[in-house]
Amino acid sequence: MRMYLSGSESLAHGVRLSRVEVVSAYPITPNSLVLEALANMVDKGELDADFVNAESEIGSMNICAGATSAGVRSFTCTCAQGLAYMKEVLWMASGMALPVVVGDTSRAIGSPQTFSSDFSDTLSERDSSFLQFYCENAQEALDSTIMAYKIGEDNRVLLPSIVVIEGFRISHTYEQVEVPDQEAVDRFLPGYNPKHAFIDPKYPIMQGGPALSTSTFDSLKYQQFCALQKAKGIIRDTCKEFADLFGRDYHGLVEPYKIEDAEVVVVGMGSVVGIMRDIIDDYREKGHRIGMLKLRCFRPFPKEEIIDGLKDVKKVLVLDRCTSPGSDGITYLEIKAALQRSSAIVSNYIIGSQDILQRDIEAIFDTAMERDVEFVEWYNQKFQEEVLQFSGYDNYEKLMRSEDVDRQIGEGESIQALGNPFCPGCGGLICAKLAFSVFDKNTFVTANCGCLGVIPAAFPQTCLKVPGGFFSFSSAGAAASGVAVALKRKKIDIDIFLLGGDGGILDIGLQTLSGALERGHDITYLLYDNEAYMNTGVQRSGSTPYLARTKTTPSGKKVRKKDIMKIVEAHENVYSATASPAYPQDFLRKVKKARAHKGPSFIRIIAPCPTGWEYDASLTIEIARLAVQTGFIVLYEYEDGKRTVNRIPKKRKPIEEYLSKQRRFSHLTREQVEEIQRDVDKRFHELIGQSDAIVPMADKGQTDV
Amino acid sequence: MEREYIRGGVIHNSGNSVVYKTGGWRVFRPIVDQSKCNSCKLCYWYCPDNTIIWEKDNVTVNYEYCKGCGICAHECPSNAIQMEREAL
Repeated sequence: MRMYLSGSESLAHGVRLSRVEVVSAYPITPNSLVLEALANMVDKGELDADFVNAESEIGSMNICAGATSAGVRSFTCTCAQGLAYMKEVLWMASGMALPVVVGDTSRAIGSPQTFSSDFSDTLSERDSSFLQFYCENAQEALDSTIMAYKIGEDNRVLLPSIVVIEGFRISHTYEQVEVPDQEAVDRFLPGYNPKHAFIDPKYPIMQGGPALSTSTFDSLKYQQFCALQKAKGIIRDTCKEFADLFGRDYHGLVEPYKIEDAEVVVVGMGSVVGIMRDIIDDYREKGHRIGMLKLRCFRPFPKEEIIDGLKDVKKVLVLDRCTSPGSDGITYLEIKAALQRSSAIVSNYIIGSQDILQRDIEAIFDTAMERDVEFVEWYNQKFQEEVLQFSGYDNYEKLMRSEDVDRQIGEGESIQALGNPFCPGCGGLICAKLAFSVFDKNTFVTANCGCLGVIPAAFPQTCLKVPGGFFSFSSAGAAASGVAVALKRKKIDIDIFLLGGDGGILDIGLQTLSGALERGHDITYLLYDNEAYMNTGVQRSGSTPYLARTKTTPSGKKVRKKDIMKIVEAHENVYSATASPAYPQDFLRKVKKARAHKGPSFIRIIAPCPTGWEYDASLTIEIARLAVQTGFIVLYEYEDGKRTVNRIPKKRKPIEEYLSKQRRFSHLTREQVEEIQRDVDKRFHELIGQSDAIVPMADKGQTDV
Repeated sequence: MEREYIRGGVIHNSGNSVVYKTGGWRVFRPIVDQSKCNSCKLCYWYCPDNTIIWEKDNVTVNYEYCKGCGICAHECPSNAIQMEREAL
């Protein structure tokens, strides 16, 4: 059936047709479309699989490794830092011979973070023994996914694979895709029935144990090396079989285009080869003997095909999106090595992460044809003077000339500048700006991925007038700890203020939050809890409430919200509190207390999100107030083992008033609303029962903020 | 010194986001009726973008940055702020 699909959706159809039984993923841009498509398929019953929302990429990859070790076909998807965060498990999965398939919507690895793709995420995993397939378009994404399972699960291979589509250029581009019938795919790809690794009490086997004798280790690794070599033949055969059944021929590890009589051959991979095909036709009409070799597979590397196809060519130009810094372009290095006995002039053109247009390709072709000596060239690397100016180069020059530059703000001046890129009515931003008003010029602000992560910096812009830093998503607490220790050594007396969302603090960031709290660094944490991954387009987090709809829980989240406060309270000498932006006096008092507290402090503030909770932007404060008035959240502080509830409502409003304002709850039935009401009642009474002091709300008519 | 970006993508120009004037995003414009204002300062606290200017108990809006979310108008206890559609 022909369908109009994005690259991400096409990849998801490949997963569906492969009858994958366990899908686990963690949101990251631009990967979210893949997991959202899969979550929808599972929700609608089109894919009979368990969709496991992981708490991090190392979690999602391990969930898949665990599932496949039990003998079940599994899939995960990620990109960029997410793939880097999986690294340890990638090597584990290949070492344990677990044929998991990873879908990668390729994106460059930071810092600086960016959304465009240069394959640096996947190419830097070239030694992880994963089979790597690079796709040119949405159709190839679907087909390669199905083939990846067949190849990886072959008894001669038994290796995991990574199917790469470029972020945005393919993942978000819609194309016509031929989606094969399930019956046809079933004939091509039988069910996963492993004999080497599975879990069955009737036949106990042990998996993944260390090989402490070096010779044992080496022989196991040698087997792994040989499996990748053997995979070459199996990839070629599988492509033939696929072509016979489905009529689309991918030719194996490389796809040659008009190279038989070519004098110049350009080697490339990914989306850029599509446009090159057209331009080659134009150039051939003009009489130029030019051809192209598309690299489909980078691991195993198609050495034989390269030697065979390019040995008689005069000039070879290798297009690389990324380099191995300190050496050359990554694919160039391998192609050059493969062609060492050939007389071809092998040059390298590094196109980076940028979008390449027709005129760029023509210029590259012309360069390749003109030059008779080997060259290495970079595409469009010139910097923009206005960006340099904007980032403050003049100040830097003064500093380098050892001039005395004082850029500190004045006493009482706001640490936050006007101008920011956030949605109108952002609840998180209200929380941040109120908190900023408590801090002064002697403050260091740190944040990580998440909507408000770009308050400190999105190069070349910063919303802050005090020092700030943007660190790794998974470990904000650790980075802040390092800063705290270093500034203490430098005897700089400064407040360290860490701003994080629910993902960065209570899911992927939980480990380093706990580490920082346990070590007792004097850091003020502010968790702006918008109850989902808003920055990647609204996927559920550990903080998403029961039954709320997100893109990865299309019919409502089935489990309860994680109570981060209890986890925080389990650490010694931490001042912790909950707050709501609707009650700024209460919140500001808590931030002041947190700032003054010697040791770690933690404030969780509810941050309504018009985009993700689906309500009119003007209602942010009303919803934040209703959360308190209904008892959905209780405002309290916890210090020295004592809990004080502040501003308890005299009579709680029914939870329906809170839920009905937000479309993320619009699918709820009457019974479900009642169930949530019972939940809220239970939690409210529990919390009140565990409290040492209770302060009632001000009387009606009196402003209580 | 050769002019290139500062290594590490470091920004030596704190507070430069001030050039991003987001007033152009606005569809509805908050209009303050000073005679109705009871100086409760709620709009000042609740504005996400710090665009309520509070001087001598007098409220004005910084239209260069106000995105028009309407929180101030919705929260004003004395109905002193009205949202009016921006002229095209």
